[in-house]
Amino acid sequence: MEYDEEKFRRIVIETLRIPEAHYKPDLKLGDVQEWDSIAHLDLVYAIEQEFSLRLSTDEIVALTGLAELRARVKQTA
Amino acid sequence: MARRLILLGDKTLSGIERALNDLLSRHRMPWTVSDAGFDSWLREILEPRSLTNQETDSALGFLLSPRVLESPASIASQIDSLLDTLKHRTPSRTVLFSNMFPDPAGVLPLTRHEPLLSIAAEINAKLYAFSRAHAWFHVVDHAGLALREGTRHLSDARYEATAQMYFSPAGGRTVANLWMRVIRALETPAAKVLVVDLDNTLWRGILGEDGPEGIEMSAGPKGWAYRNLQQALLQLKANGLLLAVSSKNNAEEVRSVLAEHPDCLLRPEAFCAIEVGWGAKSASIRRMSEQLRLGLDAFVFLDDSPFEREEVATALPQVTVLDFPEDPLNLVVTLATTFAFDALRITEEDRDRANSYVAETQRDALREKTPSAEDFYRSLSLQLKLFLARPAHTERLHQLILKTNQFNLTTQRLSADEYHELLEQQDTLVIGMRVADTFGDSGITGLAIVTGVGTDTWTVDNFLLSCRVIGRTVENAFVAWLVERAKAAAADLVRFRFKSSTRNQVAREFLERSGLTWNAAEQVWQSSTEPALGSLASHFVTIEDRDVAR
Repeated sequence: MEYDEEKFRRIVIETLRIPEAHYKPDLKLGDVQEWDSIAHLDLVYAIEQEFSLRLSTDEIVALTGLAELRARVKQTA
Repeated sequence: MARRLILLGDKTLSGIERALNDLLSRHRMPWTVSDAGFDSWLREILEPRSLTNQETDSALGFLLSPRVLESPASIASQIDSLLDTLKHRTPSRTVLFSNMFPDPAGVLPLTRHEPLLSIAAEINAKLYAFSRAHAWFHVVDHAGLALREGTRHLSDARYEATAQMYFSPAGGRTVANLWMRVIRALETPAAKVLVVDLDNTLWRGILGEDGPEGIEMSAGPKGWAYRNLQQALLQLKANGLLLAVSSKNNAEEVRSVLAEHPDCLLRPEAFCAIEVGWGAKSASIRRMSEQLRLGLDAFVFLDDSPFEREEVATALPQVTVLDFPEDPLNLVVTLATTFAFDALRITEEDRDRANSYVAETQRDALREKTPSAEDFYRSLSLQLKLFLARPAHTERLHQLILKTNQFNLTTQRLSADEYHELLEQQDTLVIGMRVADTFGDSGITGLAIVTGVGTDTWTVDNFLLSCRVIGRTVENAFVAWLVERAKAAAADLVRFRFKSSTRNQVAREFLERSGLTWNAAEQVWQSSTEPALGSLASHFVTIEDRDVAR
């Protein structure tokens, strides 16, 4: 599936429930209070569904920012 | 009652807490849910001074995963003391408790489940017995959910590994949806009456056109969906729901199908009201509501026609109008997914209620001219489209001649050859009709054969409409239009032949209140073209006659 940055951005905003203005392409876990452990899993789940990929447990735990997540999505796309 | 629910579980529940709060606010339910934290459920027994014990006005929700069945200190040994603690606490609080299902993952797939299934069954029996004895205690049926959805949907090992969540984000939403329905049912009584349509709802086909032999509700592929629906309705009835019929049909025919059709599972005595007629369905539901002394908000309506659904929804906003599935095989799913029938417990009185009503068939339910009915017509933008019959229309128009019974002025079944001859005749107009409204176009659903065109007297040899479009005032609109047309062509008189049959009372009733006059000598209904025909005309229908205008 082709990578779609706008789709990626929308999923992040919706699952982390952050105001649009708080979105940054290189947002990191801890940058915004909304990105807690549950939101983290919701984000992983939503990205997996939308971009048809599956992260391993190690990847889920190691993931700390959008840059890594985007790179991982692109690698599959 | 408190509008707060504290979730207690053996695993992390914050995902479900969030999903459930989302659902509650989406459905405008003034509840908040909070999660008492990881592995909090046994605190209720072990710590009498725990936070949840102090908030005595909150409801408690025990939301357990299958892992409790597997742990060494199995729930089997804990459940009695937990229930006992709950029982002796004062004041009693609303308690929701999930029942048990084993997670089938693991080694030894052929043998491993037997002990877990036994433990689960034992605990579930205790939970249900307890709920029967205590009105404040309700079982949330996780086991049923797991059977329907499967643990592959509900759980994902990665989330359990990373966050101690048994239910995955997707599974958690499914679980949250079930809990939302349970919370809703705590405060909202279940609907009491389900009003169903007949044609293409309770059976496949149109009784008035296809006849009792042509409709399908057998256990074969054609009738399967409808038979399933009938079985589901019987099940709902056995649990206290009243069933009723509202159908635009011939009452005699309906009666004989319900009483005698070999495939029909729902007999007349299954219904507390059978309203068969040509009036507005909202009016028939209103009458049922008065007869049964039940508020309109206790009614649910199921009908395949978007027209009827909209009519009822507009006139009676308190009634729950169900969506009709594209594939009728999903009818039972439709009934299962609506919240309208949700009840936490079913009493003996509920079960008996359904048997205490006796069906009373009502006929000739005339459309009540309430302001809301007129508004409804007007909102439909009804259009009657008239066209001259051409060879391309022959198949459908001839089929109408053969099949239409109720609104058929003469029931004269012309052969294909006879029909063809009509098309050739100079003084004869064969007019086809389509009816369109905001829901779409009905297709070819009407026909009139007008002879004597060009002479002083126009005679309608036949006029017929499919029962799908009767009762929307297009019949009035056509009569008024034809009289105007005749007048414009300098004719003096328009006559409608009528021949009574066992099934065309609808047509007779229409003629009687149409503004036409009965001419006994000629056996026709007639109108001179002289006076204005205000009473004939419909105020709701616009006529598209470009094709027919000369």
